[in-house]
Amino acid sequence: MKDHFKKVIRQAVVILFISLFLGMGVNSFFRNGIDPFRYPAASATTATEIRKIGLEQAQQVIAGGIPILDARSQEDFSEGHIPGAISLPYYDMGSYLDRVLPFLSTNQPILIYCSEASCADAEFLARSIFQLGYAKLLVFKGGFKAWVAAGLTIEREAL
Amino acid sequence: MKGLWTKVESVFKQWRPKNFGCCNQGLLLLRFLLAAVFIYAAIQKIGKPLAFSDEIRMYGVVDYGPLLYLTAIILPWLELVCSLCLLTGMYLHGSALILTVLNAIFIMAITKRTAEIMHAGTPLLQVYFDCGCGFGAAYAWKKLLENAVLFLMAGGLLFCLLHRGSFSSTDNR
Repeated sequence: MKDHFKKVIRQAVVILFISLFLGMGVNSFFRNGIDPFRYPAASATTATEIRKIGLEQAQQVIAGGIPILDARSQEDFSEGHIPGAISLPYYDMGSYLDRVLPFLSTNQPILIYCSEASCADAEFLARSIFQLGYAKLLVFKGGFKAWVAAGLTIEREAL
Repeated sequence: MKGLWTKVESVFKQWRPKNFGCCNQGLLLLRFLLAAVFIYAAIQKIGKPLAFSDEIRMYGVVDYGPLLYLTAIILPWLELVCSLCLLTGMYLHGSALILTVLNAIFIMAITKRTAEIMHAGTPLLQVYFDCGCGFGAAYAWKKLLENAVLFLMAGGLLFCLLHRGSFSSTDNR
């Protein structure tokens, strides 16, 4: 009986390790995977301060002329982005922040998007920006994919 | 400690059915049912680590940080791997143990959150939230009942496997 329990524990540990490697491996290849060790130090209220909006609402606020941040990589941004958007790749935020911040105001709403509805970068970027004092943040949930799917115009030139 | 172990062992022996042969089909059904539930739950969460991390965070146990994100990344895979083990018959004991422990944790977490919502003035039968289990929002009492059934199924499977006799050749890898 005692040996059985030892074998059960051994099997459970093996399963845990297999899941760990599979999870981390697939996560690193997934487009909407997240880096668990590079996270924004978000406060407890952050998530509730960031509003998620759909395509229709995004079009309305964009028509109102608010700043738009593209959280995708520079390559994705160069291939096409929402007209008027500024590139601020979440995973290379430090290199771009100084260039981007002059375009933003803490009192003005800011729209942030990434590639698609399930991508994490827009929300992570929003959480990081929130820490810098930008409290009126809108995350366009559908992202660039929804924008293109709706047949709306895109820009191709890089920032 | 040794005395306690002997007592535990004697209790287990007392409950051990004399013939487990007739239970094999039942065990197979139990394995497949558990596997189906957890494969569905895992698929709903795999590929959505951020959304799942927010759902885990709502329980107030882990805040933003590596632990939260690692849990959101690994937990769905753990459920999937355990389910595949149940289907294939490999590492049966280990997967049954993990699913039993996971369900126990889920029950505790849902109970904690339900208690918090009830403390804010909502009656038990009206407590309604998305538990992050992969099945969408539901009444807390229903979720607790579902998880209790799953816990009993996984625990029962582990109990039966442990008392069926020696580990089979496919299981002892």
